[in-house]
Amino acid sequence: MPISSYLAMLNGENGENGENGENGENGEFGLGGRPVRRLVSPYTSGALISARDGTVGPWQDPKNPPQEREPDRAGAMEDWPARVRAHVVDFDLGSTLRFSTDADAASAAPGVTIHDNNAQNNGNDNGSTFGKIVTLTRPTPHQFFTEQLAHVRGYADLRRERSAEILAQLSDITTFFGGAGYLHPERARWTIELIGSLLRAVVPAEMRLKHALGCRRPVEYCAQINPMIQTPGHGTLPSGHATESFLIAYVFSELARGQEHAIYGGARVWRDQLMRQAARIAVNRVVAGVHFPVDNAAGELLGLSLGKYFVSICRGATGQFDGWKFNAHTYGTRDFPWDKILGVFEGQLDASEAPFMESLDAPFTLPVLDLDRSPVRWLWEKAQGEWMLPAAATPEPDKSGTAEG
Amino acid sequence: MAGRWKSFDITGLSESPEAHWMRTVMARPGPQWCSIRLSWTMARRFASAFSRRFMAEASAEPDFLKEADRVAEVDDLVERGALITRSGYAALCRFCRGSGAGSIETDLLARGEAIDGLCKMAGGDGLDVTDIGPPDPDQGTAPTQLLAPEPAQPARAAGGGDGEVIVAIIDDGIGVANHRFRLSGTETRIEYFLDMNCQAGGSVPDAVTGADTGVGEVAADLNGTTWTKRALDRLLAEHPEDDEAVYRAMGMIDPRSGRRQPLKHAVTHGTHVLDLAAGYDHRDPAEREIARRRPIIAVQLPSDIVVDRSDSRMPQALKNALQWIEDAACTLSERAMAEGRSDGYLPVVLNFSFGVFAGPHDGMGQVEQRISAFIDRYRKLPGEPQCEVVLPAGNGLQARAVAQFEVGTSLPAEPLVWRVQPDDKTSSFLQIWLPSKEDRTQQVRVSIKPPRNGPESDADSELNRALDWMIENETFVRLYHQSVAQPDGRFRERITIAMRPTEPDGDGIATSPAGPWEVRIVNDSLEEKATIDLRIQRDDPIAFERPKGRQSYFDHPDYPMFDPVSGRLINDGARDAGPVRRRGTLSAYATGRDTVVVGGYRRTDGEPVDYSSSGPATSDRPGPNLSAVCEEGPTLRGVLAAGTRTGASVVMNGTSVAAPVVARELADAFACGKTLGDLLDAVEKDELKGIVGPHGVYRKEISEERQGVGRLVPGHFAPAPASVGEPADG
Repeated sequence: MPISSYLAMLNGENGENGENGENGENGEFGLGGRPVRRLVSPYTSGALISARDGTVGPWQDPKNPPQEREPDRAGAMEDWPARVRAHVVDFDLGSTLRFSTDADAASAAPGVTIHDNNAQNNGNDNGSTFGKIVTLTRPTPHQFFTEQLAHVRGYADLRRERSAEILAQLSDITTFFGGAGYLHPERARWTIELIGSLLRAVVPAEMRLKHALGCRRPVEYCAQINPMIQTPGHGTLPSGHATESFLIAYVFSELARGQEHAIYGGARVWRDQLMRQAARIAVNRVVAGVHFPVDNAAGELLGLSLGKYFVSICRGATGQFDGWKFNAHTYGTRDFPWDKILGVFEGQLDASEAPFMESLDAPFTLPVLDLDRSPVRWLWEKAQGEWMLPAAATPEPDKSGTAEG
Repeated sequence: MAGRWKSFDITGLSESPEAHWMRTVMARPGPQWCSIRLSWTMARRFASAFSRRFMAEASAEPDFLKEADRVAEVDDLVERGALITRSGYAALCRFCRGSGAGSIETDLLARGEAIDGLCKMAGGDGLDVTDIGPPDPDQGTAPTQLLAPEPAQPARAAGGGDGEVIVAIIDDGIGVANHRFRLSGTETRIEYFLDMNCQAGGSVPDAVTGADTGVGEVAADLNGTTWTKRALDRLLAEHPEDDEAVYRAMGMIDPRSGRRQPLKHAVTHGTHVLDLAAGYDHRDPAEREIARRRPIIAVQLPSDIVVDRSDSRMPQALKNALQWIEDAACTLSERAMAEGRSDGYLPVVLNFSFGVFAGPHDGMGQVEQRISAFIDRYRKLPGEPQCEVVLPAGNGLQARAVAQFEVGTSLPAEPLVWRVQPDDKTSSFLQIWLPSKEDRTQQVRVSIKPPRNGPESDADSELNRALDWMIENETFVRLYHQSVAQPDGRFRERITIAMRPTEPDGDGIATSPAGPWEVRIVNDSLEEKATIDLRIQRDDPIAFERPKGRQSYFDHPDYPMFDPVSGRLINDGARDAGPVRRRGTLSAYATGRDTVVVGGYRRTDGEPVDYSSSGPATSDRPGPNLSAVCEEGPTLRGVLAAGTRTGASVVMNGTSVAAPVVARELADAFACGKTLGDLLDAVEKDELKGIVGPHGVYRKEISEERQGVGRLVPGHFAPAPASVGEPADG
């Protein structure tokens, strides 16, 4: 079973942002990734009744009840079917976020914010009640028109050679990250389940932001974009594909960090590969004609921010978290400097490399998820356990001449 | 179909008919290069006008110019938008300082009005527009200052002890940042790279007062932008492991721009071809050792010339490219000599994987002449370095773009049908060439009849006149009837038929009817057995832009397309019947003197690929010089080489990818002091021995017209491994 179908069974993930998904929620399609079917079907019930009649014999009183479960213990997740686990994790992850909107003084553009929802641990973030994870603003229609539309026209040249990717990524982006690690439905089942859970948490946040910003799609600006796929029915900024793919890239690279170090030493090759893939998925949406580059930049910052937030709480981090703000109205004619955004976000580049994003400078204390109780942390730990492959012992040094300098 | 035929005088037309058609009828926008030849008096007038226009802020008017040199006519022309490169201006001034004898050829980048002005002045008073007419190989062009070579060195033995060979390429879409062209992670082997697309947002930089064109790391002038190795290395270091970022920094990728940008794409012609000619894995110590001795000089042709199938602008671009390559190769050689790595000018192998269908086919076309002149000039440098230019045979075997009549046997004949396809958004051109002769008299008359009972021409074509089919005031088809001067002092009569697109390209222009156009040739004074060549210009769609062109062809009932038994395309010129031919389809560029022409064969069975063009040419060239693999097999098409981005392998086919295989082999031959002759001998010996392919011995019989002396199996001159040892960890 490919990862995509596995994910589609677990949840209604990404693609057209859940428009084709969410079916994982109502179907009991073999949830759990293993080919588990209901043992009892309407066709076997009659047989089971008559079979019992033939075997049950006289009633015998049990001597002891089974031990009661400890209340609210993460370990019980092991027993629940995947569908149930998904609901449990969805509730917890969804409960960590809240949304607000305000007017941004600098641009007169509405700033929309995703907050940390933990009322007990905030109050030190410049007046807002809840810690800010990420704030987005939107460009003016004039800016979309004069500064961004030309990119969409230019990228259209790539449609023929990107069409296979674009069509596949309508409904599945996770598979594209499987090339960097061994994302097999059985071998990496917890990782896939974690990624699915995080996507289900991020899609509502991204949709809430898209709804609030309400930015128009390229087709609404120009009759000659002729997108090669259906333009989705929701707003353009932030790009859902960018948000989700950078979230996956971030989470996956954090999960695999130990293994990356074992294989590559200090080099961040694994992360780079994942991030490049994320950027390509994002750019493919511009190629298709349904997004502007600025949507991808906003989406990347959103995806990275939520990814970092989730990874922090999954790891039980206790420190302070400081969010980012995306000043879309200063984005200008830029294309999509995803590597600069990543570098500034990670603190590896000077902030001037991506002047359209700024630190919110309002750190807040992260909510602490209890290791024994939190289903989310439990799922993270399980997933983490799948990426512990050590490096082989160092062989004798190779004596064959000099490689490149 | 209403309409009328109207003719007018074109005596002394200074452009090619294709250029004239594109400029005047199709109203092609934008400035164009014009070659002009100026007398001493006229040269002073131009130098004076350019000085006045540009030098105000730089320096005073050169002292050798007098007020008398000022002529309003020339001043106007220069004011209206004729530009000259700094080096061209310098050469002009040098000439003006001279004795007052002779003439000088110089190039102007001129806008439409200025071209009209030039054409009006042409012929009289010391000015000729030499856009037509081959260059004089002995004249050469003054060396540009961009990469000025040192004064000639005393002659020394050819070649260096180090086996260093320059590999040059003129192509489209060259991924210069690809690791296959690097010496290490941050060091390129591309010593000089010229991108002939103007990078300054499409605007033409001011030639004389604009960017410094002296020897710099990045130099821009009217020919384009030059990057030195140092400039490229810096970009590679600034953008580690990110080819695309390098191309963006160089301005070759800009998604906001609508212009054609090959390097955006995964598969590019130039990258693939250059990899076959000079790509190495620098991580492998043995390959790196060879790579170190294969410096690269690369030229990206301007996109608007690549996409212009009228072929009217290639000669100018090629002239500039060849001059620049010569300068760059000299500079490199002089450095190698100064550093003691070589005791003479370095050998050069230049690959030019381009081809066209139409042209004189006798080696006298402008492109062919310019290439031959380049070879001559380079080989005459001190030390007489080896220099070969490798070209593909062409892919036109099945194109039905070539027809031939023989007076007395196949002519007179029924009119020949020229089938012009619907949905062709570009002009179509058909050239009719008569044999070379001593005078300019008219020997044939040509007429053309539009499809579906259109009006037949009521007057035949006449020498030195153009014949138009017009509806209202719009010209739809034009016959240019000319006598073309050859460099050997002889003449060839040529009739060029130019036709409008059959489909507007969103611009609402008038279109010609698609379908069977009937071309009729009436012989007046050609001798029995004389042959008349008809060649349709290539017009297939171009990569990386919307498909526009569609190839028109000759539609003749006697042409056998398929083998009646096997049902396959006939892959043999000997089976031609009727006037439409497979023989003689060799690319016109490949008919020049001294070039190395490469046909394509298939690795599985050694047979020529079914599109590889066939000789003979109208010149004495019987066919390609040799052939190389360009298809793995009948089902596994093409050959693998580098894609645009580092790490990607992609498939491309066509004789374009056979040529660089030979270029690579030639570079290896030069490196060990061997020559083209040695290479051809080795191939011939292989053929005599019998060549074993993957499925057994290849058929012994080879066609000289398709495969030259035989099929190259590379590796005759494989450089000795420089260091023993395993490749780096793989």
